[in-house]
Amino acid sequence: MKSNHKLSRIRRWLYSANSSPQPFRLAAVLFSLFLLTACSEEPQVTQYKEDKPKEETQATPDPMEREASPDIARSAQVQTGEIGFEKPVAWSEGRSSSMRIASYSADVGGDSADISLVKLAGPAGGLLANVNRWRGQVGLGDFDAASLASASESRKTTSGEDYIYVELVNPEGNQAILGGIYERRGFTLFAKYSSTADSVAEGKADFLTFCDSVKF
Amino acid sequence: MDPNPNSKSSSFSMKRFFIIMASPALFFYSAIWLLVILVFGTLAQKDMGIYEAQEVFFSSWFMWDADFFYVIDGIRRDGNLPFPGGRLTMSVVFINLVLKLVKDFPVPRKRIGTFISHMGGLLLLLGGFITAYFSTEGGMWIPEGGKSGQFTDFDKVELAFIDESPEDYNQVTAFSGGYMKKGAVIEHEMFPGKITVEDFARHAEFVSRTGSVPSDYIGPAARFEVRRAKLEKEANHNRTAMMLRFEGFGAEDGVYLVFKFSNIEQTIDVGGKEYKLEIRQKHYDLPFEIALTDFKMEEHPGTRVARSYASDVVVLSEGTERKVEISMNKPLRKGPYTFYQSSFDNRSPVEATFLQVVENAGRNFPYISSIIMCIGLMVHMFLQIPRMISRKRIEKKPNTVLVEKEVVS
Repeated sequence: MKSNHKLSRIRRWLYSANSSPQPFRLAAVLFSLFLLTACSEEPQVTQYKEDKPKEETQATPDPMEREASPDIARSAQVQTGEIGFEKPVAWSEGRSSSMRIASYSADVGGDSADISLVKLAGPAGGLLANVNRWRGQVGLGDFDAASLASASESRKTTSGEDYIYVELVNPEGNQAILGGIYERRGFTLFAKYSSTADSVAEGKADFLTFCDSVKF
Repeated sequence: MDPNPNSKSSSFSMKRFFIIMASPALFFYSAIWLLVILVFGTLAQKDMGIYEAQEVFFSSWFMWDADFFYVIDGIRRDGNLPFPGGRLTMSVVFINLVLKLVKDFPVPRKRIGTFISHMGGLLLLLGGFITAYFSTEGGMWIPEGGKSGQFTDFDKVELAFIDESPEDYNQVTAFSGGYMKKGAVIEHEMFPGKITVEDFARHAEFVSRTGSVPSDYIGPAARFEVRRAKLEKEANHNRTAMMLRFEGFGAEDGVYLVFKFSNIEQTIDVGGKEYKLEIRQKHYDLPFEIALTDFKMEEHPGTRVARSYASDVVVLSEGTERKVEISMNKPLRKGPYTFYQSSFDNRSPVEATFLQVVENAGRNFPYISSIIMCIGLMVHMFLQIPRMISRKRIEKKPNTVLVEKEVVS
């Protein structure tokens, strides 16, 4: 049969002739193809038109401000689900846990700091209970409602959302927690910065940048 | 006659190599290794993020022992021992299957079923390669009442030269792919000179320079040094940075620092025309446009949690209009593109929808290859039926075993 004859010729070509290296050639061709695909990407040039950005985003910062800008890439935009925020560049990824939607660590003044963002359903026990839980963690006694009101600060994020900021510092135990609590309909978001009392002041600016940048 | 006296031994080793490469044992061990990679790669996504875990375990030719330890204890260290990555292992499996088919060719009738199944497996791997090298994944924002014919890549970035002089639009010339690496040289007809990438960092952090700075370092390049930072979990959150040396641009010659998310506008004058420099997600043009007529969202009662959301869109293509609803489990498919309802913005004055765009020429391969593999298995089973029947006969007539065996063989 003609087709069988052709097939046997192909077969001979592929791995016959006793010691001839045809099969090796086939393997070499296949390897070469994969190596080719493994090569680095081709340089690409594309040209396209795009709409001009809207006026408010087109505003150019003042040249002097730009030149002096200390904020050059001090933080990076992070989006976790529907919650976005600015992560200071000095912070690195921390150990994640199922509770945390974001977790970072920082080296501040030789001490390490642990930063977490936790989202809990509903009021999660309420503001006072949670602040007192944090106070217990740094070795401080409980607040009552009046003490909490005087010791906490009501702040606004850059997108205009309200949140409560607290500083819990125990100089004797050299422990400190900075906290941002965002009470929203259906959930509460807790931003927490745990460090030593000695170094907490140094990390406060970055933590406030972080807290102020939270967007829902 | 072989003119080369040494060829016998060398061809023997080649033949041996071929036998090893075509052996079922290689497939077996590769498959086990793939399972190991699959388990570690999946666990790694928790700490590394999906993009990096995919890069390290599945899309790599080689990976390191340190990558496995990272999954176990979460500590980053330098790798000492290389291991075959997912891409290399799958390439070996592909070659193994091809060579096995070649070795067994022509296929005996009784094994035609397994041959078809092997072909299906090969097609599946081929589809995987097409997806790995030629697919694109990105997203597009469309405000209500607006339309768009572009999307941006989730992972890849481009260096864009933006000409803002036209009144109605910006003209962009973008360099990507092989240009996004240290040592790359950008030469283009619109430039009088060349641009060399002196440094490239996929994710950078910046530290203030101390000591003397070369006089040709301009703007941020004169004030900051680029340092490589650990990649973000989401690839599009990486702050990619490039140190670019402009030569042959006259007064504009020098070294510039350009980076993503920069709040410092960098411009360069080329022959009297000003270009804004930006590193951003790579843009793609679609061969059609999508207009958003309405974005709809339902919330779970008493909460702000979305229960379902959908976009009423109109596909504008070659003078035709097609109304389509894209919802969470109902994507729009057009040509090689699939549009998934991914996110939304209902806080801005104008609502907007975010569609995930996937362009994948290999998207049908898994379906086709699965069908082929099923056909192969069915053929194999069908061909085994006479054998099974004859075996049963043998079992029923123990006295005729030898005779029947002879007949079967």
